[in-house]
Amino acid sequence: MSDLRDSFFQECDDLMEVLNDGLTALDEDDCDPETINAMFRSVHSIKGGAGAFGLDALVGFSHAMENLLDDVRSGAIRPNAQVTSLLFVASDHLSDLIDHAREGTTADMSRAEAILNDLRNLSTAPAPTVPGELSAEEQEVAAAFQPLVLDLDLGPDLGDDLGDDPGPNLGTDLGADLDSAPDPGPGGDLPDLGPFRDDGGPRSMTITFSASEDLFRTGNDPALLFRALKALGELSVAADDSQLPPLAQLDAATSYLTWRLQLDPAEGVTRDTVEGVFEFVDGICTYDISSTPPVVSEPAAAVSSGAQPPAPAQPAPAAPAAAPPVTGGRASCGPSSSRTSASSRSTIRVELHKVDRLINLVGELVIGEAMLRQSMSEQGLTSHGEVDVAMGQLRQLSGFLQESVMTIRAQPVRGLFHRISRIAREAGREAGKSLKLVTVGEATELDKTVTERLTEPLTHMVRNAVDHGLERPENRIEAGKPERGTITLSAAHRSGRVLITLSDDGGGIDRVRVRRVAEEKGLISPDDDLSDSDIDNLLFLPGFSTNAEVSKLSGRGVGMDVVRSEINALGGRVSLQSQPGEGTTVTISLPLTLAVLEGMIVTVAGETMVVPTSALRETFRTDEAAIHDFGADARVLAVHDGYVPIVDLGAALGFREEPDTITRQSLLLIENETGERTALIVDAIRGQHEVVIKGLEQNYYQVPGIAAATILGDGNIALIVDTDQLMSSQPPVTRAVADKPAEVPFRSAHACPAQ
Amino acid sequence: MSSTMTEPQIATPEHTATERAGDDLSEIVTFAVGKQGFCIEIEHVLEIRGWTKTTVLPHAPDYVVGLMNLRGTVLPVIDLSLRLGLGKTETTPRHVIIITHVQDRTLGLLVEAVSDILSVRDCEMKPTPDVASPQTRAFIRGVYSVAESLVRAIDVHQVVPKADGLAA
Amino acid sequence: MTKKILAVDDSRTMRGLLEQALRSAGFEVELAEDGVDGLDKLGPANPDLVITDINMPRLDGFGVIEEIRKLDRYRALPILVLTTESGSDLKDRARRAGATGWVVKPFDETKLVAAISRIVA
Repeated sequence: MSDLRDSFFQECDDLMEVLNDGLTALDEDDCDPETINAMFRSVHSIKGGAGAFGLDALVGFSHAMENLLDDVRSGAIRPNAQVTSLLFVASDHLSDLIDHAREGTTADMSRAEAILNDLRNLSTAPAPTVPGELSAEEQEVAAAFQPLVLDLDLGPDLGDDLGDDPGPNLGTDLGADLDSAPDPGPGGDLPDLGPFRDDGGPRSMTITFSASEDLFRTGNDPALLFRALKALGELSVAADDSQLPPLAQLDAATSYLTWRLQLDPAEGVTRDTVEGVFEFVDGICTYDISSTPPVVSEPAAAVSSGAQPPAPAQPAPAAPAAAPPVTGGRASCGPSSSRTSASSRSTIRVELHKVDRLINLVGELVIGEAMLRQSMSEQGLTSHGEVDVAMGQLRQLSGFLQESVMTIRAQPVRGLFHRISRIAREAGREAGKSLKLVTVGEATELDKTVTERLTEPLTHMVRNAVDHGLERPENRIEAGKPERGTITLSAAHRSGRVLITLSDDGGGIDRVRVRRVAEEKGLISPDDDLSDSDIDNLLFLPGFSTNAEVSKLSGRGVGMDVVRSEINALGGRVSLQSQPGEGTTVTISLPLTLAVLEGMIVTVAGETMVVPTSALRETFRTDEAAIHDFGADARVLAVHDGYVPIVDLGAALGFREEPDTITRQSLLLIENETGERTALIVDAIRGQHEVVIKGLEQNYYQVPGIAAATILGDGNIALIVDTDQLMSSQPPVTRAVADKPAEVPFRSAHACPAQ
Repeated sequence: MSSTMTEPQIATPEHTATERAGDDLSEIVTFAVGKQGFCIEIEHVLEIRGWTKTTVLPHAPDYVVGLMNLRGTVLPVIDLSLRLGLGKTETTPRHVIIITHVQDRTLGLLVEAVSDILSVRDCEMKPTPDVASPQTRAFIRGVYSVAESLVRAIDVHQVVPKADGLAA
Repeated sequence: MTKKILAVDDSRTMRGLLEQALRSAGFEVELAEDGVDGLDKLGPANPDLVITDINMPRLDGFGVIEEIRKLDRYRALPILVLTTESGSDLKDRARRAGATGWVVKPFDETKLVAAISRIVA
């Protein structure tokens, strides 16, 4: 059962996605009926499952949502902005309720009540119900499927009319009573519970029964009813075939027989039990239960208004041979089947650790292949044609295998985008700003871990956009913009990386103010000559907050510096573009996977290390580069547009002392996403390779200046340099300073700062 | 990969209820560090490997020798001698790394040689004598007397490198 | 002989619940994810009973029943409708389409099995 429960919550996540997709479409005035249908079905399925697990709060809330969606579906309510907005709120709350149910915690019912009231006020459905009571009410209604007592004297004419109708009773409760109400027969007062109500022991019951053709049309079978009755006690059955016409006049679809059954009920069998047997045929047969034996064999009286003169006409299916092939079923499904919007992709669910194990093993395979290749070349085997070809194939295959395995971990950013959309809506409400969140590229796939770890930085970014980016509605109107602000969240693949951008059409960064704040905080000097982009990048400095009166939304002690370090930890980069009056765009560039990385293999102080090529801009040989001593213990490298500080990688990592002189070594010019550059001295460059990333945290800890480790072709471990962290030991506006040497002597990167 | 590999899989000895009544039997792996006898519980030992070259970790405590590659897993190797205050180990090919699993981490313990796998009763463990230095005592749970020699039971949880020792 | 039941529901959870309840009652179970899938599986499975949800993508429960009843071979096939709706109008619609009976979700295993035994020979 707990498996099923887990499966239910997993399904809820999927269903919530469908619902959110639908709402987004609705918000964009896409009122495709199938979209609304799919939304309705999602809520309906949540309700159904919740009912099965006794999650009453969830049942009640989804029921109210379902009602409103049903109205939208039927066209009773137009999905205007008010409805859509309420549905968004309700959907968010539904998501919360699901979370609460999953965690077994109690939801805030006062909030539910407020939303429920709104839902009910909009919806045309009656029956305002309290969440907790609803499922009980439903069950009650469900259980109470008993003949309704309606004392209607409709007279024989109507009865005859109905009798001529091939489907006389249309299965309504009313139908059943039409049959029984005018019946003057011995058991005439049909629902009379009298004889059964007060007697303690079982008493003999007489049941008269005749079927309508609807009974057979619906796959019901009198024989099965009798069998069910037989299970309740001693039963004898007699058929009255007096109404059977001559064979020539016999209509195969009509039932001409009336049965008389005598039941001696077993202990504990009540009239309700007996009536329960007739649940599915109530309304499509005439039956009468009485505790006194019929005086004469006059059962026809009991079925007079039912009007079918009985006759057997073995109802069941004739001619199976004539049946068309069933596989044709799909073709004949009618118009509703032509829409295959819910194209069901076949999927399996696999525990993450199994996938990770597979990925690890494939990583090993790739390394093993590299080791084999290396030792073969050391033994001079590569010149052998066939071995070479086979090795090439092995290499290619293991590459393909690795690529395919990596895609298993990838998942679309849709779920993440929905969470962020929701945060944007809530932030908009809190800030009193009307906004529309547009998402682009939801199907873009990203490593699951990356997706998960993006939630926090994106949350902060979107709050920033709502809070600081979008102007107040009145200011927007003044500026000639639509009152409703637009925030666009997009994802796309670009040159082996995934780009995620969050842009707003707000006022852009107030650079005068940013600069003033930075000066006030002593982050820059008033004399610093900063470009627009330099000023924008000040936002990424630790502890920077432009909002003097710290906002309720984004001022949670988290700044863009934290966003940046989070993204950096994922091997990604953040950059920011802003146009005054037009808006701000923050771009996150991420590696496709956390598992492989393209790196430059270098040696430093006898150690082999990897510098990620994503950070690498240029390489120089020290004997050919323009290196200038700077101050007592520093050097700068002259590049075409300025000077870049030089850091000895071995010294920065504590492998050796800062060398006094630079010998024949190599320089790697690295750059972070804010454009800060540093030149790293390494002893030798060995070449570029794709390496499998092995985290250090699993068995050890994070090491300052080191992003991870990898295993080289010879089986040795090489450390992957965290270039951004190495550079963060530089003063914040290195570039500005380095361009104008003379102001602040930059700190030596001798020791990496501790995290 | 050049290394000796021993899978210490010793069948649990049969013992009767009366034998058990005294105390539970534990299995320990005994080894030498700085010419002294030590042991750890066998359930912490994954395997034993010969010494391989490790990769130096920057900003690591001195007792962290470096990183080793165990069939694709990157794990730190600890110089147990240095950790116990018995001086830095000058590694030779005869040195051995005991791969242990402690607190959800896998790490290697560099020792001189593995001696034996023994069954001992928990009640046979005696308190650490006062003569041991405070640094040694911090890592020792107690001592066993095995064949007239002293075997010091290492508290593996204490041996795991601490995060606060890492910040430079 | 073991009776075979084709259960059609677009909710994975509901399919799981049905499967568990029916199997533990000794039935053989075939599952389908929506109406079209249900019709596709009808022939190969050749069930003794069909249980179908009403609200489903592609083809709803009413459609499933109507399609099944169009086939002579399945004119008397017992079909149970599974629905959270307890209102009689849905039952009526189901019956007009040709449903044999109904079970209201959340269903009770005993009631479900009792309902099945009443309509399966």
